[in-house]
Amino acid sequence: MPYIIEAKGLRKQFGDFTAVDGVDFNINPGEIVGFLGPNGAGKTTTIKMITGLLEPDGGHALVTGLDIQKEPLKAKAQFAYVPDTPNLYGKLKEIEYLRFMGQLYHVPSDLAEERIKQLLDLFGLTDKAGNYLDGFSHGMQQKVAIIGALLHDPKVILMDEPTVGLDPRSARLVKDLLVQHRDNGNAIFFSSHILEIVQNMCDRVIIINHGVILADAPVDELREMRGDQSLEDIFLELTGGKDVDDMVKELGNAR
Amino acid sequence: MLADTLLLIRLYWTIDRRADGGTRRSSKIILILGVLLVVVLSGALGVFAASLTKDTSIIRIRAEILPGLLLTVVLFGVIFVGFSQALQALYLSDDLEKLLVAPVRSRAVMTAKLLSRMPTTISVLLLATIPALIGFGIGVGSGPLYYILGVLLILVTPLFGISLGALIAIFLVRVLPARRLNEWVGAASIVIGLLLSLLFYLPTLFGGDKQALDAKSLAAVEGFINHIGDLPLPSIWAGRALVAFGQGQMTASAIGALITYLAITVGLFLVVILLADRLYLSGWLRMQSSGAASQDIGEQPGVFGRNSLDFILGYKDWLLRIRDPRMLATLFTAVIMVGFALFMMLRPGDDGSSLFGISEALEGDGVNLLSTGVIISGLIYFAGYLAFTRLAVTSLSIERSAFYILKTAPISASQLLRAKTFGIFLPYAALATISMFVTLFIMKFSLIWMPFGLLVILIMGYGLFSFLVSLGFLYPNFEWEDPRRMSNRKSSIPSLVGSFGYSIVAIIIVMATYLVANETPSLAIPAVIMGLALLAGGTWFFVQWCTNRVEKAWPRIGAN
Repeated sequence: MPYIIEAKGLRKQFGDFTAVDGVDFNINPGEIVGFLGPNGAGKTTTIKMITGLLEPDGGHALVTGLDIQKEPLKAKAQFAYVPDTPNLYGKLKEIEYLRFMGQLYHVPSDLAEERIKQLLDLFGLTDKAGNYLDGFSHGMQQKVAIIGALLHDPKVILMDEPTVGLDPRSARLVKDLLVQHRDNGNAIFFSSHILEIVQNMCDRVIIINHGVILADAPVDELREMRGDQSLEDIFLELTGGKDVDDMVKELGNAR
Repeated sequence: MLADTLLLIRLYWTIDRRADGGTRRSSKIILILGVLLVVVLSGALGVFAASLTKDTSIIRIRAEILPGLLLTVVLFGVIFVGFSQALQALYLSDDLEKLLVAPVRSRAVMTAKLLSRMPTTISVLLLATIPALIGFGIGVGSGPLYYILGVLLILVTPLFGISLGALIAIFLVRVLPARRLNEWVGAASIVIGLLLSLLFYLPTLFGGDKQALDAKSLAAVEGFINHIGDLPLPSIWAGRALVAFGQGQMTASAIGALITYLAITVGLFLVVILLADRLYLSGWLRMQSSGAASQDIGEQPGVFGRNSLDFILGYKDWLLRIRDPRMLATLFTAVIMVGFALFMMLRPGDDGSSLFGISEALEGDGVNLLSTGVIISGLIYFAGYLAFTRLAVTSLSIERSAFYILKTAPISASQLLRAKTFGIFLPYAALATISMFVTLFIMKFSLIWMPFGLLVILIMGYGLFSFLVSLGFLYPNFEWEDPRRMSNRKSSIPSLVGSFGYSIVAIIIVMATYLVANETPSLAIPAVIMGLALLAGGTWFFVQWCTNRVEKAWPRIGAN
């Protein structure tokens, strides 16, 4: 069975700055993979290259075996992308946006209507269906974006910080939905700074820093290899943030 | 509180200065030239206004009311600008949440936000009005006190406008959402601009006895200005005082008028700062928790659920345009301008600006070069170009930060280009067809050329808008905040060159067809078929070329 996502030597340069430097990894069906890294490590750039938002300067990104640059339409039909800031069409109503998404991903009208109703109910957004999206809070827009992403039942969902801005109930709902999506044989690939969520949800983590992959292993395996440290400690050690503790202590002494 | 206010003002001025520092040299040169133009025009206006007070003038305005009128016009402008600036600064700026949760008095935030806007407003006002005031002073021979007090009055006017504007904004935000209000302010400014520009053309709109009309109009203008000058407005009183001081008449009423104006201005600002503080804070807090009324999901799949992807892509764009009042106002402006231009061309009359006049002149000279129907086709095509160019060039930019939705969706660049082109072409085609039939009814031109003319403008319209939409793909702007700044300036020259290039080639084909058919009637039908085939074929190649360019550029579009 082919990988759902294959990143082969992905590289991206912005002027003199190398944002992503030969990144290789695979995502299997039935997997939730967390993508970790400090700010500016290259997470979003990598995700953007996989989704076709950015053209790589080197390497390839394959979605279900389809090269995103060579067969973009087939590849794009296989995934959904939810960015950290859900920039939606503010002047569309919630229901119009979701129906638009259904059409954009060629979901038959009846099926789209059924899924929209189910998901709106689930997220408690049914009574807002006729409201314009520019009146929605960040969290509500995030929920609408997630519903839009789930409509065509994608093989893989790529997300940037999926639970930011969500209330605890919605965050839990999103986690449950993602787990269910994984259990149906699909994959989830998301970046997050909330290590607790990553540790609880993910089957595997990939850690990136300075555009280079530092670790790629199941969470338990990674912890075992690192002497049963927490994911937070492993992350800080790998990304050079371990000195944070010393710095905080020093700051305390200075006060 | 003073320390907080000064700290914030310093911060905003630093930010503004740095933002201006990044301007390119060419933009700076254009800015300097623009400023010089405004100064010269303003000065000329002042000298012209002074000439209106002389006995020899075609209309006679009392000298003592003109500076007051200038102050009043400035005041109303500043209230509008002040309202818009206050709305932006007090309710819609990004740093408000940070500031209002910080241990800083909300009064300091409000004062700093309002005052930080003053330098820009004052600079613009000084540039636009001081030369006029000086020109007028020189024209009527005022003394030095007139100039000193004139500058002082202009300097304090923004304080008045911003205070009143802020007060209006503070009250309105309690009733209407700030963002919606801001959109309507944008729309209002577009419509006001349109109305002002139309005002200049109004006298020429109506035919008839021009001399009698001019005399009547001038008398009306004279009466209107003198009437305004008698209104009990503090700015008019201040203007009168200014003229009196300029003539060395330091009367008690003049001093009183000046003091009243200054006291009202400064007093209003203090009232706003002292009393509006709580109103502002409670309005802002209410804004954070306001929500729209609930509406239920419909049972029907609606337009988005029923129609093809190509259709809903165009439909979505039109919804975005119509639902944003600022875009709607821009659209409305374009429609009014085109309607006005068409009216000017089609109105009865024998002067050179009317199509009837041109047509009759051509016939009178025995020239049978073009049928009126063919001229009408050209006119409708040109009107369509004027009305739809901006929409076509911005049809990708309209996606703004939501562009990623289309970029990551399984839709090709060519399909998106086609859908967006049809989104512009279909309304154009509908309006062009209606216009053809309406002008046929009004002007009763030859029916023989009607189908040819209609097909020509439809084919040419499709070619033109494919090109313009493709240009919008090659030069998108996803960073805009104000829809009036949606188009990318880089597209303006290619847009002109490409549109005229394509149109000229197409017009040559159409003219050649018409001439051959007109000169040799036996070959008329084959000539028309050949001409249309050539036009359609050429347009098809042109559209393919545009599509290829977009497909090549697609991976890089929006990639930053």
